[in-house]
Amino acid sequence: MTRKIIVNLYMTLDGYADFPKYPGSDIQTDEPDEAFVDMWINNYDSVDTIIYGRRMFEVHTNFHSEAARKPTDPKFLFEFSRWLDRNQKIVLSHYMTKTDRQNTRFMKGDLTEIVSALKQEPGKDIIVDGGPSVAQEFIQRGLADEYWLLVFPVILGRGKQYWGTMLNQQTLELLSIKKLEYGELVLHYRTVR
Amino acid sequence: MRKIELHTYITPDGRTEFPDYPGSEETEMNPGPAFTDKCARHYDSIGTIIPGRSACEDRQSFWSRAKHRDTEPGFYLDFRRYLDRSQKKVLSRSLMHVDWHESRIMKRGLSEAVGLPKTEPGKNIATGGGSMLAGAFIQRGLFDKYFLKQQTLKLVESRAFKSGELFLHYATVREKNINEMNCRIARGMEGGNS
Repeated sequence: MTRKIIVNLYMTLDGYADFPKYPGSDIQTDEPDEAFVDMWINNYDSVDTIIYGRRMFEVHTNFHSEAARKPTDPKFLFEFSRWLDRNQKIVLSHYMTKTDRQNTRFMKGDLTEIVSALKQEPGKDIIVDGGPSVAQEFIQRGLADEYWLLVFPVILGRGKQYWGTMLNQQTLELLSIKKLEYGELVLHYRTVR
Repeated sequence: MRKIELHTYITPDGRTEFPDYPGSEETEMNPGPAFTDKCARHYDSIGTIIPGRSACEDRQSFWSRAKHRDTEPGFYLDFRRYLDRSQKKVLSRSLMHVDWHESRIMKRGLSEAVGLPKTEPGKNIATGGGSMLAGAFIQRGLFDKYFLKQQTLKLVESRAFKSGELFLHYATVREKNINEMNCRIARGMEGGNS
């Protein structure tokens, strides 16, 4: 089995990469919601590598490394941080070469070549949590084997789009759909090749 | 209260197309759940449709009652009847004449069409149309200040069909403290004949 590339997208109904406010968006709980379970926790055993763009890497380091956790944070977030810390993190960056964060590698160059190199390395599946421009690059080049979409019940009207123009359509197979408490949808697609 | 409904077909990346995919070509003699949810169950509640020029021409050439064939599935005829009896407010600056009964050309465009529900009683109003028309409706709904914020939606219903299509039904959640312009438009959008 080759390693799967799983792309996580967090978007409004009109395809913008954002975390908008809507009734229910601010409610914090001690337990992870179903989207978090599907997109992260269920993958703890099958994934060992995360791909970030430079900005998303900084966001994740500032908020989700174990060192950045607050004592009041729920237990599942501590587990998430420990899992992220021990996983391999690939940062796509043209100029960044150093970080204090453990298990981190910087890569630059052609994305298709980077991905095929990673797929040839031994290891488990790979999650792309890249931010809109990195995600768009994966989509346009057809590099994703699976997509997890968290769709917020909002038409935002502006922002950074995940979807770009492509010459050929990509056909998907819908693997699952979940409707969450506040109207978010969790969609899981596989790319049909 | 009379409502304006957007009925649209999109790919997950928001393009209004009918692409080929496994299952897309199957024609069945009975309406599938997708057709039932999307069309058939609205026959009674919709009295007016607002197509753009090209959607009107496409629909008329394929779906008008006159194109009925005896060999086609029975539910096609129901759809033909529904389209025929609906009032068709066609948005077009260039069309001079539509040869389809219950049709009227709205030369002044969207503002004329959106003004309709306030002045005329009747059933709900549906617009499908292409991406241009749908986009114009969405933007008008968010007009001005509203557009600079965001439109919050409530997911009323969601279903997945056998070949992987999703049916999503959202309602617009309107904010109370919007400015006067927006209130006027919001009421216009929702009708209210009082």
